Amino acid sequence: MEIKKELTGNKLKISLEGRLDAVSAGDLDKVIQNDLNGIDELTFDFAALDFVASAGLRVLLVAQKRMNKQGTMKIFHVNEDVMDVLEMTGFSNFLDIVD
Amino acid sequence: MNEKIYSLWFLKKGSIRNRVFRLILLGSMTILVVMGLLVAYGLYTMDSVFMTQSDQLTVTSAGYIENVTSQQITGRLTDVAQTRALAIETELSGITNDTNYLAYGVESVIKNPEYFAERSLPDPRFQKIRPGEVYIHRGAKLQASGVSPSLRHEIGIMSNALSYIAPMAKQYNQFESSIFIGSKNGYIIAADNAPGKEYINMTEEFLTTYEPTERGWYKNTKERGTITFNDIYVGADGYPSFTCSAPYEDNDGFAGVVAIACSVKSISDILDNSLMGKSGISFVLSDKGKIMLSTNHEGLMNDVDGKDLQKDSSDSLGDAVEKMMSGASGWQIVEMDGQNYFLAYAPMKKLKWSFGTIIAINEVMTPVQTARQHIVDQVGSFKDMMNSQMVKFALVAIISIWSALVMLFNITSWLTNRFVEPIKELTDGVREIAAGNLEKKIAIPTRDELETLANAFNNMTDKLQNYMSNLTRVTMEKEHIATELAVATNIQESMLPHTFPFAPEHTEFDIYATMQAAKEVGGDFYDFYMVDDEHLLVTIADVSGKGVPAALFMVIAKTMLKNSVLSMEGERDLAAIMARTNDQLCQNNDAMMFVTAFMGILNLTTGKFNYINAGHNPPVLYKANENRFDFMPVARNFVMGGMDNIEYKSQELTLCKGDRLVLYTDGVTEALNYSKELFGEERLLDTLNKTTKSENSAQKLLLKLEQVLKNYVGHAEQSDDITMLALVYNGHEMA
Repeated sequence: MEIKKELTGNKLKISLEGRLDAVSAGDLDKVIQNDLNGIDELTFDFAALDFVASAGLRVLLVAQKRMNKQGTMKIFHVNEDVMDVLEMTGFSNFLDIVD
Repeated sequence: MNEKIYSLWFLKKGSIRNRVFRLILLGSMTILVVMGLLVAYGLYTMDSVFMTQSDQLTVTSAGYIENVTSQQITGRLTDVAQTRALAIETELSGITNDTNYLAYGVESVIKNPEYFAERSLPDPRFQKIRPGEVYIHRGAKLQASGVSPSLRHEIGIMSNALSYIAPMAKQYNQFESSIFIGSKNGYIIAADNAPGKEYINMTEEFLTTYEPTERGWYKNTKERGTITFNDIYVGADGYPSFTCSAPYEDNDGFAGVVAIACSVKSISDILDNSLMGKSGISFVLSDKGKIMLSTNHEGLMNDVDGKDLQKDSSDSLGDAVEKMMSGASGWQIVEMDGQNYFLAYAPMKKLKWSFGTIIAINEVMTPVQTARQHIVDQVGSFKDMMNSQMVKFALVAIISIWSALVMLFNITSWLTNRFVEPIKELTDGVREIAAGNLEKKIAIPTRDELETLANAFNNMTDKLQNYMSNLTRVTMEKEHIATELAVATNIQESMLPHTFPFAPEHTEFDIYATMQAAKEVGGDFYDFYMVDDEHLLVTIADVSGKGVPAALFMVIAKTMLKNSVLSMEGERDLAAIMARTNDQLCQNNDAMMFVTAFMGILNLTTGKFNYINAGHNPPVLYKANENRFDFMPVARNFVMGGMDNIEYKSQELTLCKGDRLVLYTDGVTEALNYSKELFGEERLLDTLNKTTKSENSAQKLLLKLEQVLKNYVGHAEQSDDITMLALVYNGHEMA
């Protein structure tokens, strides 16, 4: 999976491409742990994301919990398959998913 | 370019040893060959220079000796010719004076007969004549015609010439000689000398036939009218005899000839003494080209037959004779009887004669030839010696070069081996290291690149050793962990109900479950147990992530869920159980682990199935009356452990006889084949719907599903835990 980061002031945009599975979730976890200091607006672009595994959901949960304390987090361009997973697991109720 | 260089034999690919060997050998051989060529060139130059020089030396030295010798010889010959010519002329001039004096005396008698009285002289016909005694002899004609009275008177008067003849005869008495007067009237008055004899020997023939007016000396002198030297003859004593004659006159003119014939030993001695060498000939040539005197009495230069040399002789001799006759002096080479001679000559001026002396060039030059031959021999033997020395030197050189080559070969071989030895040592060392002996240390104290290389190898070996020990340690640790994990897997597996058939006394249901962890321990779990006699609880759950953390969280989740279920009194409210367990999981969940779970409780009697789905995959339900599998409608509850204080909604349905439930985790639907394609929910339903009637037990259903899944994945790596649980409800048979 590829992780692209765009930092504009206090705004961080993370674009994901490929599969967010148990292996790549570790990489994204590192980004979340290290790059969110001082960020008050975090956006994810899921346009090129094909798949999310439970380990990936965990990272999204970590990110959401962190952003709940310091700002906002939004997810853009979620495709159908990923959306299914998010809905099935109930994550769609907690995440700010923008069409 | 490189290919070109390598195509040279000494750089051809091969072992370093061979290449170095060839290079050193080639270099040394080149030097050797160049030196050899230089030496050979030097020898050749020396030899050729020596050969030309020695030939030249022979020629010049022999020529020099020849020149010096011929100069000396001709010089001496010329000296001899001049002194001898002078000596002979002196001798002859004495006789000439005597002859003139005699003619004067005779004339003074015959012209003045009035002063003299007649006198008589002995006649050899009648008495013996003593040497020196003056006698009268009448010639043959006079004897025949007889003497007239006037002639008798004349003879009587002429006999007074005795006073001139007698003293003259005395003067010559040491030699055979005659002093005589030949009258035109046919008589002679003479005195003969014959040293050592008592009487003069006169033959009968002489006494009877001798006619003075017929003799050559008389005729010559009368003809020439002046003093004349006549032909030379060898006298009885073996010495050459001269006859010097002069005419005398009476008052009427020519009256006769006076002559002195004498064998002059001194002249003979002079001639003999003038000879040089065995081939030497000395001679006196007259102004007419006749040989007057010679040391040779036969051959071309004899003095016997009065040869005219100018006539029959070679060009060179003729030329020389002409010069001699012209009164010249000098020397030249003449050819005679096919042999070359030095001829030196000098004139006798008064007589207009010439003295010549010759010597064969051969004889003169024989010592020169010998000397020349000697030089040639010496030089030749020196050359031979030189040549043999050269050959010896060449042999020594060849042997030396051969030995040098052998030595060179050995030294090169030795040097190359010495050079290559450390490489071999290094190779052996590396082989030993490669064979596993990491303790091996390569020691090559050559203080060059090879030592550096060996040290690098030792360094590498050390690092390898460290690495190997690290690896061993890590491997051991890993093995340790693996062992622990195997134990953990064992524990995890034993935590899940795995005894089948489960509760066979309950015919109302048939249950079967499997779990295949992607790693040794998994994050999935299932659970089923009888809550009481008529309630069966089933659970399937999936912890986010995999491996040990997921397994630990799974243990917690499973234990908490079961505790919550079992500690609940009265009516079992799954939503409350879920909410309570979620709250418990959220406490101290710093790792933000969560778990999706499906939990249901089946009333075996009524078939009522109360269930709750916390973010898990919707199970598949087989409705017997519809004869098909389909996803169960599930409410969307959030996962457990993600957030606390969440309300969960439970649902309910009723199972009929033959209905089946298949619970699974996302390991099934998200199984990947080689093309990274998901197995998917469609395929899951499809697979289940294609099962035959015979595959209606829980176990067979799962085995079938497992089989299809295995085929789909093929050799691709299992990406997630795969957990399945099947439940078949057989309905409650009233007892």
